[in-house]
Amino acid sequence: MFLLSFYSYDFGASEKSLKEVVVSSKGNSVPFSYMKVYLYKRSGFIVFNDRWGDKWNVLWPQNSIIPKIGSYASFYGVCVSDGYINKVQNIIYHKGYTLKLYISIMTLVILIILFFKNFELSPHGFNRRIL
Amino acid sequence: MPDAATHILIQIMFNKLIWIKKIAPYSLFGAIAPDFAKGLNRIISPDWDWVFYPMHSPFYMLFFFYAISMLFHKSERSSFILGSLLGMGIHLFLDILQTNISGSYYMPLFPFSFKTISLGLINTETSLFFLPLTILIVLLTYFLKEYIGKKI
Repeated sequence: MFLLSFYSYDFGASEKSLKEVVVSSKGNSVPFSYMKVYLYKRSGFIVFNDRWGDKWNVLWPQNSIIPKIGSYASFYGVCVSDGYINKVQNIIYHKGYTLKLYISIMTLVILIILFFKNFELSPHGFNRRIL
Repeated sequence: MPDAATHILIQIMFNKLIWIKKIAPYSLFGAIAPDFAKGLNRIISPDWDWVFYPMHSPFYMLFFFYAISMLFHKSERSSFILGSLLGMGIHLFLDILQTNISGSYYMPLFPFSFKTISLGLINTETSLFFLPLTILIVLLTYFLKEYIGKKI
C-alpha cells in the first residue's frame, strides 16, 4: 500500500503548478479550478489564490455574479500578462464547499457512534455485539 | 466528491434495495473511506495530494481494506473487505459522474494507468442542493421495503 502511494507521489512530482501550466499555454485558454477569492479590486479585477499559493488577478465578466471573499470558483481564462487573467468563461461557483466539509464531518461522527454501538472490541479484534 | 451524507444515504438505499445484511455496516464504511484524506488537501502542499489520490482506485483500496480488516475478528474479515469494496465501488461511481473543470484526480485504473475519469454529468456541489430530496427518497425506499414489502 505504501509502495503504491509512493508510486503515485512520484508520478505527481512531475505535475506542473498552475503558474507553469499558464506560462506554457502561450495565450490559450487554461482551466483554473478551485480558486479561492482573496480580495476585490476597484478596476473589476478579483484576486484569487490557487492551490500552490500563487495569486491571480482575474478580470471578472461584468454580467457574472461576483463570488464572495473566501469562496471558491472554477473557470477557464486566458493569461494576458504575468498573473493577469482575461476572457473568463465556463464559471462554476462552488457554493457550499465549506458546508460540505461540515456535513461530512457530522456524518463521520454519527458513523463512529453507530460503529461503537454495534461493535465491541474483543481480544481477537472488533466483533459484532450480540444483542 | 458529493458530500459524505449523500454517499451514505445512497449506500443505505442500495443496501435496502438489494437486501444486503451481513456486509451492510461495512459497505457504509467503504462508502466514505475514499474521502478520508480529502480534508488534508486544504492544509498540505498539492504535491502531497498525490499520495492520497489512489484512494479512488479499487486495487489500492483492496490493500487498504485488507490492512484495516486486521483490526476485526477473523470471522468478520472477508465480510469487511467485500462490504467495503462494494461501498467504495458505489462511491467511485458517484464521484466520476461529476464535472471537474480541469479533469478529476479519480484514477480507477491505478496502478495500471494514471488515466483520470470524469463524466461531467453533475456539478460538484449539486449533491448538497439535493440532500433534502435524497433523504426523502431514502426514507421512502426504507418505508416501502419495510412495510409494504412485508405485506406482499
